[in-house]
This record gives sequence, C-alpha cells and structure tokens, in this order.
Amino acid sequence: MKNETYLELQACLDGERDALRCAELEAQCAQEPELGALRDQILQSREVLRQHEPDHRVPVSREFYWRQIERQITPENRTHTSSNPWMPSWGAALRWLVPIGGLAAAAALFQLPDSPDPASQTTSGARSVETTQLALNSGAPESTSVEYRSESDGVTIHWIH
Amino acid sequence: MPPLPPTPPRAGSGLLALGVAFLTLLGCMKAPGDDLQVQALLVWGTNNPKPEGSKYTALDPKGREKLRQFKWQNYWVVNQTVSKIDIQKPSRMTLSEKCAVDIKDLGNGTAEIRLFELKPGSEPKLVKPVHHSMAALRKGEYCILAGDDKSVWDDAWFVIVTAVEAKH
Repeated sequence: MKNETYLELQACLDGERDALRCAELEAQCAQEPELGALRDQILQSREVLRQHEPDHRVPVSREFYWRQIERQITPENRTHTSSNPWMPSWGAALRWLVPIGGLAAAAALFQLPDSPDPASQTTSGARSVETTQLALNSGAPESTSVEYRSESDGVTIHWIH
Repeated sequence: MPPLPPTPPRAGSGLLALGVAFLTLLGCMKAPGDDLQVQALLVWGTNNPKPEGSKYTALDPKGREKLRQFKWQNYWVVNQTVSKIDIQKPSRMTLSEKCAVDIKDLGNGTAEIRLFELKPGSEPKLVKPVHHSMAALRKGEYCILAGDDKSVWDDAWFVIVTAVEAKH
C-alpha cells in the first residue's frame, strides 16, 4: 500500500476529500483486505478517542483561557518582529549585557551581608526586623502566575499556581 | 512722558508670594500615595452555600462583575480590611490566619502588592509580589490575586485590592 493511499484514506475519514474519491477508496478497501483493515483500525481509534478522551476543565471561562494563550504568543511575535535593520547593535549589546548583568547580580548578593539595613539599625521594634526579612524573601518568590488584564473591565487578575 | 518712578514693593504682596511658594513646596513634598486608601478583601469562590454560622457576606455586584470570567456561583467575602498606602514602608493587611498582603507606593507611579502565607511560629513567606499602576487604582481598577484552594477541591480564593474611593 502506498503512503499516499494511506493519507488519502485518513483524509476521507476526516471529511477532507470529495465524495467521488472517497467512494473509489471505499471500493478499494473492499478489494484490498490490508486497506480495509487499516480503515477499520482508524475508525476504531477515532471512536476510542472520542469516548475516552479525558475531559480537562479549566476553572475559567473559554474566553479567559484563550486570551491567556494569545497574550503569551503576542510578546513572542513582537520579539521576532522587533529585529529591524536600523537597530542591529541591540543583539550584540544584549549578548554582553546578560553575562555582565549576571556578574553584577552576583556581586550585589555578596555585598548584601556587609551592608546592613539602616532601618533595622535605627529602630529596635520587632516590626523592622520583620520588614527586613520580607524584603529578603522578595528576591526569590516561589510561585508562578498568569496575568490577565482588561482595561475595559478595569481589572487585573494574577492567577497564582 | 517721563518714566514713572519704580514703586516700592509692598509687604503684603511679598508675604502672599511667600505663602504661595510655601504651599507649592508642601504640595511637592506630599507623597504620591498619601491620600489613597486601599481595601483588601479575602474572597472564597465556591459553588457551595454559605457555611452555617459563618459571618461571610456575598461579594457586591461590582466585584462579582470583575470576576465574571470565573465559573463559581458564590463569592463569599471572608474578611476585609482597609489601609493607607505609604511610600516609606509597606502597609500590612492581615486577611486570615494564613494570608496577608502588604502594599507600598514605590514612588514611580506604581504600587507593589505582596501576598504572604502566614504560618504560626515562622516568618511570613512571600508568595507573590505584583506591581500595579497607582493611577489605575485611583481610577477604580481592581487588582486581584487568586489561586486554587488547596484544602477544598475545585474552590478558589481571591484577594481583591481596590482603592476605597473607587467604591463610592
């Protein structure tokens, strides 16, 4: 059996071929047991998938769900389209900025213990200690989130995972 | 016509100018978030009715409208608190035994809202910091942090932060 025939049979079963060609293939299936068995197998697989496909429900509406995906895709497209010939140096600059930025961040981390917070020195209450602790925690938030913003609705939602 | 002799400055106008300058200076020194009060609500999104004996209240229609994208039938306000946004230090608002938010005016037109998980005997754990436009808050925009309820299957929690002025 040719690969083309196999693909055409699949296309017929998916309703992507005209009726005449499908009728020809159906007749071919009756003549060729191998092709007929393949047709039966595809039909069975389709039925099994339809009946037993897990139903994943998201806790948000359809519109909300797809707008999140759209928002994720749009910035990527912008990144690709922003490489215009008038700004060729940005790519090269970024290649250097990333390692330099990393070094700077590492240096800043090493400097942190040596530079005490003036607020914690001047005040003696427990609240100042707490504030310092919270500030340190803020460097490494553990949760990821998805942001949804609708200016017309006047709402921004951060869904935290 | 001979030029008029210069008039001597009057003491009254000088004082007036000084006063105006002083008031202008005061206006400039005023922190951006000085007069902005925010309200934080802890809301439980569920299809269950209000638990008997609880003091939960239904979320107001405006709040419900903001959450219309979500599927739950009921949004119960578990707790709410009001605080002023400060530019110097974050204003802490404890919403439950397990949850608190703090909010601070960063001075650059944005406010930082941080969500904390509280555990007895340990330091508050930062769950998520978000930045939100102060102008949007003043305009009445809602900033909502939300997630799945870990204790009850298929329910969710919401922390809704709004400007108090926007409620009126």
